[in-house]
This record gives sequence, C-alpha cells and structure tokens, in this order.
Amino acid sequence: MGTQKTLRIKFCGGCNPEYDRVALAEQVQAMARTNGVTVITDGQPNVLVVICGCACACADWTAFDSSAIVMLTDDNPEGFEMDRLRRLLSAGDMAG
Amino acid sequence: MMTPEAYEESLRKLNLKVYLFGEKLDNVVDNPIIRPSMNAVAKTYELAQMPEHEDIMTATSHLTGRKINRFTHIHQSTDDLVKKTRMGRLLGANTGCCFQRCVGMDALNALSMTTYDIDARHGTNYNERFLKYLEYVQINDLTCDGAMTDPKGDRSLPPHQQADPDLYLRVVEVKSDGIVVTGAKAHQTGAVNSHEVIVMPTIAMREADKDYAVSFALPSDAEGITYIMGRQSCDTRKLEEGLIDRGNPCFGGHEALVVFDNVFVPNDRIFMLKEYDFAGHLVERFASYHRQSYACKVGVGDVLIGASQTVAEYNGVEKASHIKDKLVEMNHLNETLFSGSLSCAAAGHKEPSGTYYVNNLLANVFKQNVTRFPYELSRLAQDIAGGLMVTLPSETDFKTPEIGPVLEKYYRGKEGISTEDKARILRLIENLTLGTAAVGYLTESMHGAGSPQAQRVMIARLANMEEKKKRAKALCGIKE
Repeated sequence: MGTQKTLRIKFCGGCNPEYDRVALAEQVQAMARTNGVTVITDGQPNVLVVICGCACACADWTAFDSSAIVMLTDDNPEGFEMDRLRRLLSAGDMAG
Repeated sequence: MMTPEAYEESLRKLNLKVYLFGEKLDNVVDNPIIRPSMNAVAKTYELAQMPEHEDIMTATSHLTGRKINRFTHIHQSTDDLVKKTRMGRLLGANTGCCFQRCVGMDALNALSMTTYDIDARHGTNYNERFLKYLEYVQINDLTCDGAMTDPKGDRSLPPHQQADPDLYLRVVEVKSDGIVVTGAKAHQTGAVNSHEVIVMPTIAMREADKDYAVSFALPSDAEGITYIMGRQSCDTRKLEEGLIDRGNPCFGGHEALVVFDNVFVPNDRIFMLKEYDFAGHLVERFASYHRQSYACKVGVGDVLIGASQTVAEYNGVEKASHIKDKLVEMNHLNETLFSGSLSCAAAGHKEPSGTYYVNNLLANVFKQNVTRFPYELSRLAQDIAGGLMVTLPSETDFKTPEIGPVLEKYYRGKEGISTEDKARILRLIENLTLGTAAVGYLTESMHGAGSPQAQRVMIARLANMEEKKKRAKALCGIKE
C-alpha cells in the first residue's frame, strides 16, 4: 500500500479579496476528498494550494517545501492553475 | 494568542476607574456605549485565529520565534510593513470603524528604535528593558494604548512655561525604584479596552522641558489613573430600544481623557527619562508609523462605497451615469489612499535597531490625503444616499401600529426591497458620515496621528528640494 497523499490549504490574509476564498477552499477540499487525497492542516503536504484573494498573491508560503504548489488567485473553475490542480489530484504521482 | 472570548474576560479582570456621563462605571465591558468599541478590538483577536486571515493577522516574534498577533510584532522587513497596511484595511472593512489596536503597535515599534538610539548616545539600558516588556506583551497578546497627545494648554508656550505645569505629562518625583508622574493624555483611542498604557512625549523638547521628556508603560488599571470618556455624535442611540438606528450596531470606537494623578512607574517600565534630545525623535517615529496606520480608513471606505452602491440599487438609480461616475470617483479616492499606505511601507528601510521603518515622506503624504479624501467620499455617499438619510423617522415609529404602515407605504424603494433594509443601509451611511463612526472616519482622519499642518511641516522638511533644483537647472542650462 502506498503512502496516503496529502493536500494543505494556505490562504493570503484577505485584505480585499475579489472572490469568496473560503468557498473556493471548500471546493478544493471536496475535490481532494473525491480523489482520495487527505486534507491536512499541519505539516508538509504533497500538494500545497495557496488561495490568494487577488493577482498580487502576497501569501507567504516560504515555510513549505511541498512537491507541488498550486497558486489560485481567482475562482475560475476553468483557470490554468485549477486545471493543474485537478490533474494533480487525479494523478497517482503528486509531483508538480 | 488570545481568543476574543479570553480578551473580553481579561478586560473584566481589570479594575479601571472610568467615568461616563458624570458617573463612575462599575461594569465597563457591558456598558452599551462602550461595548461596540470592545467588540471592534475583539475582532483583532478573532481574525488572528482564522486560517483565511492569519497570513496578515499573525507574525513570528523576532524575540521568541513564536507565532504572535501582528499587533504586538516589531516589523522585521518591508513585507511586514506592507502586511500592516493590509491588516488595517482588512479590519476597517470588517468593523466599519476604528479598531483601536494600531496605536499600541506603533508605540511599540517606535520605542524599539528610540530606546536603542538613546542607549547608543547616552549609555543607558532602555532597549534591554523595552525588549523584556515587549516579550511580556507578545506572550500575553496584550492590547496597548499608545498615549502621546498632551492637553497642551497654550500652544504658543513650551511645557515648562504653561500656567498649569500639568498641561503636559511630567515627572514630579524621581525615586530609587522608579518615578512619579502627573498629567494627562487626551483623545486616547481605545484606552479602556487596553491592558496597558504606553506613554510618550508629544513634542520635541529642550533642556528646560526635560521633566516632560518621559516614556513608560503601565498596566491600564495602575493606581492613580482615571479615564473620562469622550462622547460621540448620536452616542445615546446605543441606549435606545432597537438596533437599526445605530447604523452599525455591533462595532464602534471610543476616546477618553486619561488622567495620571501622582502615578508611580517602576524603573523596569521606564523607556525614556529626561533625555529631552530624543523626545522629538520618538514623536517623529511614532507619528510616521501611525500615519501609515490610517490604511484602516481604506477599509472603512470599502464599507461606505459598498453601502453607497447598495442604496443606489435599492433606489433603482444604480444605472444612472452620474451615480456610476460618483462610485468610480469614490473607488478612485479610496484606492489612492491604499496606494499611499502601501508605498510608504514598501519603501521602508532598516534602522540600526533592526526595526523596519516606513518611508517618512510618503507616510506624511499619505496621511495628508487621509485628512481630505474621507470627507469627499462622505460627501459623495450622502449625495448618492439622498436626503432620507437624515429625515428618516425612528425605528420606533416604524414599529408603531398607527404610523408604521404609513411609513412602510411611503418610504419603500425598488420592488422586492424591504423598507427595513433600505432604512438599515441609510442608517449605516449616516453612522459613517454623521454619527458615532464619523468620529473615526472623519475627524480622526483629520487630526489623528497629527493634524494636517503637522504633515505639511514634515513634507516641507523631507522633500529633496536641492536635488529638484539641480535637475531643473541642469535641463535649462543654468551653470553654478
């Protein structure tokens, strides 16, 4: 049996967000669970999803050395990074 | 870090001597006039606990490596300064008022530099004392009142020439274990919601004023300290039944006169004692940080703009070109303010103490704009809202059987919008531009962190005029 794959969400501070970041986080968590990926709130994940309220993407993720970092700056379901996240979650290999 | 519940509980343990409307209060926390201001400070604790805000609301202590509330943090980079600006906007937008905690943060940061610089010149050990105090504040996640403004009496006279020597806070006795101080600090925002009061001098001083050159920190309920609450426009609406007429029923600010009557300060809490040559140094550093802090007004501006758009939609005028243009203008003004606070943060630098300091010129330029733009934003909001904002009958009238239905009939707006919701948004605009919140959004924007002329003096001093002249002369061929 392989090691359980993990995902963690990191937010920007949300000073003037252009969309509902918490709602997007819930969507991401649901996607992870659907793909059998465990959502963690501590420690280093396989995939770090950084949810930023706008394109300036000021969230500090320097403490993470995850194999894949997905930076979401909008809630467009067709966006490039969201698409990449879907592929990462559905793939067996979580490397970015 | 403290939870908002623990913060409220910690205030209940304080033994503050507070007067409001001529009476000494037995219960400060639950007083209906004061309570909204406590709720606003509690928000600084609440958001720090939330994953979606922790990136702004928390920081890593440079003293202990522990996660701390950003309001107790000493800026270690320009990124920290930028996050401070963002935190101000976030909290302003979440409370629609002054959340009171920035002033203590600014006092801590200013003292982290000034104590270091005094030690370097005078061989004192203030910085070591200060850092111990800072660690205590950080570990216990305390709210501090930064108390700078003296009553000042006759503005044309220095402290030592005032008719009453107490018009500037001063040292009245030096003992082996501490000092005794007397005087007062005026307009103290959030004073009775604070665990600590950090006192600083209010102007640059000369040797004759050295007894007034004093900085220290005390628990807010130290023996001899009295708080006399300032009142605000429409404040007694908080004593009425119903919530709608309050506009912003949950949050607000407060100011108080803080009186020090022969108060003892132990040596380990003293950060400046008669080093008059550093009084102006501390004032300038505190003022610059605090001018940056007016990013909070951008957040309050977000609320006012949102309210203006909403009332336009309720009245069915949101597509009118002049309404759209006024809302564009409001956003332009608000984002220009945000740019100013961000720029003085991004152009900050490291001081010898290691603390990062905002760009002083840009902080003053930003605050000068803050003395103007919220007034124009308020004028535009009132223009969009219409006269009903100030002629609307009371919530009680709406609930009175004989006249309530009449008011419902004649004050309804667009189909599908309840008259109550229309009243709520109008009362919020009234609150921000004329009511209790206008104290913070307008007059505090004018005079807080220094009146407009104080910024103009700094701009005149800091603008690089020689370089500007040199460039002009070079371009037109003037040789010197």
